[in-house]
Amino acid sequence: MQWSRFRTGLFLTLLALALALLVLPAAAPTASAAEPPGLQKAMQAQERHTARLMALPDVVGTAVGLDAQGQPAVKVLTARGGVAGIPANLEGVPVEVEVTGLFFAIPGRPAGKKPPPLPAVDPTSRFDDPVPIGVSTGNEFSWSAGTIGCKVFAIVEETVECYALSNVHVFDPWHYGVSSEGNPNAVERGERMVQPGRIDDPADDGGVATEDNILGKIVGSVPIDFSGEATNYVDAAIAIVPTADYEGVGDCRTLGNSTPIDGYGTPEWADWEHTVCADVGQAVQKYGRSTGLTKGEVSLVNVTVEVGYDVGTAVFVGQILIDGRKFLKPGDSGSLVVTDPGKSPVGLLFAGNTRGSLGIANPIGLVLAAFQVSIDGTPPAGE
Amino acid sequence: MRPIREVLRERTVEWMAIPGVVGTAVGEAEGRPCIKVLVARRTGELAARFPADVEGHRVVVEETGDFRAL
Repeated sequence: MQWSRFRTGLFLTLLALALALLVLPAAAPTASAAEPPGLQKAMQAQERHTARLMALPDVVGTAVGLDAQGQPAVKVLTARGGVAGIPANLEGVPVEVEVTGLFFAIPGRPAGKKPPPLPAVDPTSRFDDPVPIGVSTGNEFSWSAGTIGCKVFAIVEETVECYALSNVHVFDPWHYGVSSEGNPNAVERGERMVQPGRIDDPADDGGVATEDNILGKIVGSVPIDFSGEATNYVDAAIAIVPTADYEGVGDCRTLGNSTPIDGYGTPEWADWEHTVCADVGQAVQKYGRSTGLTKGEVSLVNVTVEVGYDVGTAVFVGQILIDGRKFLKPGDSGSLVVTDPGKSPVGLLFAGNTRGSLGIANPIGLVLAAFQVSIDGTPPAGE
Repeated sequence: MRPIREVLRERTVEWMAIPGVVGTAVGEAEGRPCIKVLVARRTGELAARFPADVEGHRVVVEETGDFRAL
């Protein structure tokens, strides 16, 4: 490279000379308009001494340029002023120090390109301690899966009890919270919830649920009335999970209060007296077992709607309808709906149309009031 | 004009009994609150069964499909 540069330089010099002779026959043969005299010499000096100069601490580069007097000079680029060991000239070529600071590669991004996506998380998988919210869950006896909506808590006789919140049709798919003579519901039977839901465990052999997957005990539910005359307000149930005060059941993983890394994070705290009202037009988001993080908009409120279940149709009143492309799929039931971007809890998702573009959620205040619990989340803005 | 929720509450029972109706709600049309009748499949015949407005509140028939617990 050194040799070819010399030859290129020599060629250019000769070309310049030739041009100069054509244009200015009276000009001295060593002068040229294209290249200052001594530039070649400077380049050679730079090349011969660069390795030695770069070895000096705080020297970040060398170059050839013109000094203050307009003469070709070797430039030594330094990270700071006052670097020792730099000569005043090299083989007769003046040396000029230029303090540039350190150089860094700047990770540029072409205009219009999005940053790389976060690593994808599979919400149907089994999660280690602490278990995030928005992931797969189910009843220990049911070949199905829904979503852990969020972590809720209550203070019971001076201890804090924590629960996983989801739908009753996720935690009690046989009885929907309904209790009758000789046919108790999941709470009365002491049934437990698993994470992931059994249909999401590839190692599940169809027998008894894997003990390692048991996360909590179902302790509360609101029964659904399918009589057609009645009105339902919530499709909700809670399962108590281990905490410092409560040993829990199963493998004793605790429940965290945040979604996986590719979700919206941690919802805001809320209780039944402090919730954000869902207004038409409010932008919302959810994280669920089937479709992960999706976004939509509240399009209808005060919704009275017939919802189909395996065992019949139930009418719900006072519901919230969310409109969003591919907002939800089967398995997303139980997801917490929060505002976007504020993350204020707004509703508990439990149903949708077959296309998955419309979701129905219970107003979160009614859900929290049913169990007298608060959502474990960040303090709301302004508090 | 009576409040929209009051009017809706009165009409809901009657409307929900009509085959094909899956729900009723308060929505928005042209920036103003309106009553929405949710139907599984919107047909001209079904839509014709509902007034254009009730006591000054606009009524819009919207096709949503059926709803299922997911």
